[in-house]
Formats: sequence, structure tokens, C-alpha cells
Amino acid sequence: MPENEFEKQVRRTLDDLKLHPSDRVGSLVEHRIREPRKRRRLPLVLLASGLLLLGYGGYRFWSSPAIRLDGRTGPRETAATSGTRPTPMPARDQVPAGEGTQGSPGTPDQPGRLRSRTASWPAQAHPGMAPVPLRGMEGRAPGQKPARNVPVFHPDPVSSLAAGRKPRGTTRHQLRPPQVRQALTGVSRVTRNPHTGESSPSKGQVSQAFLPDNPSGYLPRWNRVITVPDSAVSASWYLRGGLVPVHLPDRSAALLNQPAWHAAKNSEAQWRWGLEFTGGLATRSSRFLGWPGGAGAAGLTINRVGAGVNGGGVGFASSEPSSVQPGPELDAGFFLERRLSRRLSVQAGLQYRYASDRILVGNNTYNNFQAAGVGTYLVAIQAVSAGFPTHTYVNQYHYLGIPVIMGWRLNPRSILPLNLRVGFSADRLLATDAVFYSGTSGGFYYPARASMNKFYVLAHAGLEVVGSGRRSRAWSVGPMVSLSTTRQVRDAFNRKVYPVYGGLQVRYRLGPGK
Amino acid sequence: MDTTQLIRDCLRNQPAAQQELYRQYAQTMLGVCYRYTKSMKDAEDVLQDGFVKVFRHLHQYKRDGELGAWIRRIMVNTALNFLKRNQRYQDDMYFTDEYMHPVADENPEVSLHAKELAGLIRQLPPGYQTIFNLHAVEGYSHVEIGEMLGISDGTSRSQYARARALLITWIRDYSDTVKKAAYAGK
Repeated sequence: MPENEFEKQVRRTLDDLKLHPSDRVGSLVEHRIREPRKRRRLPLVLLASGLLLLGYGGYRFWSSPAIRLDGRTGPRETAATSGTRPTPMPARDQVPAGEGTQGSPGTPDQPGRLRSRTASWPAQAHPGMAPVPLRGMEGRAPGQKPARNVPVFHPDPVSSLAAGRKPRGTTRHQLRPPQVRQALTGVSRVTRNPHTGESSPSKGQVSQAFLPDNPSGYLPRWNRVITVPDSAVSASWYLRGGLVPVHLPDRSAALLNQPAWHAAKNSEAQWRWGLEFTGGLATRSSRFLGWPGGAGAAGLTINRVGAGVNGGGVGFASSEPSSVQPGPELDAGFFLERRLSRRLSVQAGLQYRYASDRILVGNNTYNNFQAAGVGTYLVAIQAVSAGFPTHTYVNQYHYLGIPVIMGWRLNPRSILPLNLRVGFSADRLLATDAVFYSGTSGGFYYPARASMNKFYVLAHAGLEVVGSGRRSRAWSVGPMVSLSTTRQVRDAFNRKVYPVYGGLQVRYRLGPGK
Repeated sequence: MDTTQLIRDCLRNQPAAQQELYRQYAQTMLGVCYRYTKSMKDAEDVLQDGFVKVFRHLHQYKRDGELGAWIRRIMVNTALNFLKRNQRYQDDMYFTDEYMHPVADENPEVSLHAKELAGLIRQLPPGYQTIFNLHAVEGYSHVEIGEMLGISDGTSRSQYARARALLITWIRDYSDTVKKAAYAGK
């Protein structure tokens, strides 16, 4: 008999199997298809919960209290939230003693305070600033290149002075910012880690199907076989609804009692591939994972200017004038996924990310902006935006990343799987037109691509609900939050800002890979 | 009634057409459900769920294949979901990666009636029963079974080999028993 003949016979035999359902089934089917269909609300509830959680986290993340030296916290006032235009910073000589813009430690009776980092807006770009020719630009028309090998300096030489050394002269194409160590002392604030308390996944239930040693019966539960004398057996007895009497010979007993009945680890090693898309919001944070990352990360940039003018003690404190408003973020990529166990899976892939955020900038743009305030040290910068912030500028970023995500199925027995997804990715900045703020010369924005980090390591966390598709295909959807662990700008005098993304991720697993 | 017309009338929610569709396929599909479950009540529950799905998703039937095959696939998927959802079955559906053991290339003649054979298949442990049904009767490959049940194809092969060996033994014994009974009755 040829191979698989047994299967063909079985199939042929069972094709004839027809059983009469009870009348109850037909009436129930009819009743159920007539009644209004119940909507499956669980995915919607989970999705809404995830979005609410995301929104709440974002709210807590962005509505951090103002920083005070006395340790108290209060509601943060920003230009965006207060609805009023930022108040121009008073002139340096108008700042009362004890309320210097760099803050003061205060006394027990009168605690000092720091300005909120967004409540103050530095003085406008010097309105009547005389056009002083730059070094190397003497006798040249605006827009022309300066003379070659003429030392020029970084846009923020003030910070360099504050660090106690003269700005390094370097060639035009080797701009490297001086390192400025910012120090804030006496700042105490209560921070709360919004990422605490993630419960560990519950232990998987180990179900044991078959007993390792089953001396009494070969089949568990309803599979127990009743052995009856041969004389009692007849086909008619079976057809009347009796149990199938089967002798279990030694051979089948040997099959069932093999040591392999012991539970073993279930591994499903197979790569599958798919596509993923994410739509959400992108922004920047001056804090990483909710904790202040030091003085710079606290949002205050103190550029000590006029060293010697006021005895070196009075600083020029400024903060980023415009709060960063989130902008759209889109991801697209493909992934390879491998299940390591019933619960655990790993995913890696390639992902393109477009991100953006919005800020308010001034309406003055210069090709060669002169960073004033330090006497002879002038700076040539292209395309800055200074002045009163009236224009919305969209910072755009393009990344290419390799995400590695681990998935942990929270409910292995449910027909609607819910996965916790945690991982990281290595991203490369491909292109950007972002501008960053410098507090020098009254405050201005400048394109800082040269000083931006090119490589980023991002941490990802999210949830997803997996829906079943046809055969091997499956879709999943859920919220995903990504936080960069890498600073966006390398400059020490810039704020330590970290990209943050959050949105809804949709994945579609297409099938097994090779 | 023509199948195309029957589908069209069902899509218009005509009760007569729906009853006719149910009447045409209910018996065959109950046979399918019967093989996957352990009791007639469970089989009827699966049949009921399956037919509700059939009527609700009939608009997705693309008419590129036989309607019976499409309904059968729905019944099989409904049965699998039922097994996954039902704790009684879940407890014994734990698939293990067992060692492959040599399977005799036995192809005994199956001279049993359909219900007798189905009864023997139902005596298999749920894991064996499901995989045997999916592979031997429905014709799914082990890779497909692995994806459907969330197990590796090696596990599916192993379980199928065990189920096959066990069933062949039982079929032989049953046939012998019936023959002996028939002989004794003469």
C-alpha cells in the first residue's frame, strides 16, 4: 500500500460523516443572527486606556513644576500655557540684588529663587546694534566668504569666557564649542519617577497535560478507556451510543508511557517578517525619564557675561524663550520577528522616522550675525533668527534606525493576545533643519546641525493588542513611547534636550521569513 | 436552489435562504465539529458559533472556491478557538517537544464506518486529536498547523506521529474486536 494511503482512507471515510444536529442549534443560530451584533469592546477599551495612559504620562512629563531654590514647587508658567507673550527680561542693571537672573541661595528668612526657565525671555536682539565688520570680512560685501585662515569663533564665545578661558581660535570649518560647566547649587526639587511600579509579569501557568507516570489509566479525564470483555462488544451497542470499547495492548501503552511525556520547553523558532507604521507626536525634553539630568537638564542656561564688568558676580541668566510644541512623527519600516517561547518574542528591523517639533522664533534673519557682548570676539553665523518670537518654526528630523524589541505576552491563554513591548534602537540622524537657541547677544536661534549628535540610542516601551489575520498573517496595534538616551546637541552650553516620541503603532505580520 | 442565488438571498437576510443554507451544510459540518470535540454538546456549540460566523461574514466569501470548503474552514477555526478558550481542553492541550520516535510505515486498511473512526479519533488526547484532524483530514501542513496552534512544526510532526501510531493500533484492535463479535454472533 503506498505511503499516505492511511490518511487518504481516513479522509475518504470521514467525508461521509454526517450527524444530525438537534433542533435547538438551528433555532439558536437563527436567534443569534437576528439579534443586534455585540461590538467587541475589549480592544477599544485597551486602546483607549493606552492612549489615556500616554496622555497622562505626557501631561505629567511636560507640566513639571517651576524650579525654586527654596525647594518648593509650583505650577510651571510658560508662555504657551499662560496665554501671554513672554515678558522681556529686564536690563541687567535693573535686576534687583538678590534676584539676579542666575539666582541666589537666599537666606533663611528670605529664600532666594530662580527664575522659571520659560517664564523669562531674554532681551531682544540688540536693536541698535552697529554693524561691526567681522574679522576676515573687512572690505568685503555682506554674503561674501571671509578671508581664508582667519580665526573665527564659535557662536557662543561668552560661555567660553565664563569657563575661564579665552575662546580658541580655529578655522572656519573646525568650529568646536568651548566646554562650559554650568553649576546650580542649592536647587532641590521633588521629582517623581513616572516610570515606577511596573509589575512583573505573572508567572506562566504550566499546564501538565499528561501524567509522567500513569499507572492506572492511559488517557486522562474523559479519555479513559473502558475495557470490556470481547463478548460484550458489538457494533450495534456502539451505535446505540455506548462508549467505544478498546483494548489497549502493550504496544500503545508503551507509546503512551514514554519518558517524553514530561513537559519540555516549548520553543517556536521561526522568523517571520512584517511591516510596521507609527503615527504620533514628537517633542524634546530637557529631562530624561522624568529626572533632571543636572544643571543643564534643569532647563537653565547661565551664560556669564561681562566678567569683570560687575565684578564677575552677576551673571546673565536666560532660558529657552519658546516652549517646544510637539509636532507630527511618522515611522515606517519592516521587521523580523522570532518567537522564543509561548510568551517571549524578539523583533529586529529597519525603520525610517520623520519627526518634527514647533518653536517660536524671531523674524529677523541674518546671513552673518554678530554675536555681540564680548568686545572684539565676534562670531559669524549664518541664518539665525533673532528678535521677538513671533514666527512658528518647524524643526524637522529624519532618522534611520535599527530597533530591537522584546515582546512579552501578558495573557497567553486569551484569544486576544496583549503584548508588552520593551526595547531599544540605534538611530542615525540623516538630515535636519533644526535650529537651537543660544542665550548670547540677547538670544537667537541658529542652525546647529554640526553640533548635533548623529547617533542616538532610544528606549521604547509599549503595549499591543494582536488580532488574528488569515493563516499566518496577523495585525497588532497599540501605543508606543520612545525616549532618547542621547542628547540632541553636544554643546555643553546648550540645554540637554532629548528627543521623545509617542504614538500609535500598527504592525502587520505578513508571514514566515526565510 | 442555485448556490449563487442562495448566497445572494442570505446576504439579503432572507430567513428562508438562511434556513436552506443551514439545512444543506449543518450535518456535514457537525461531523467536522464532532471530530474536534469530546462531546456532542461541545460539537453543537461549535456548530452554532460557526454558523453564526458564516452568516455574519458571508459577504467575505469571494466565490472563488466551493462554499462548502469555505464553511468548513470557518468551522475548523471556530473549533480551534473553542479548544483554546475552553479550560477543559486547554489543560490537556499542552504541546511538548518530544523526541521523535520511529514511526512504522504502516498503512492498515480502514474498514470502519465514519462514526466509528471519528469515535476513535475522539478518544485521542486533545493535542493528538487536533493535530491528527488538521493534518490527516483537513490536509494542513505541519508548518501551517504550527502557526495555527502556536507551536513549532517539529512538535506538530512529533505529535502527529504519535497520534497516527496510536490510532492505527486502535483501529486494528477495534476491527479485530468487531470481527470477533461478528463471528461469535453467527
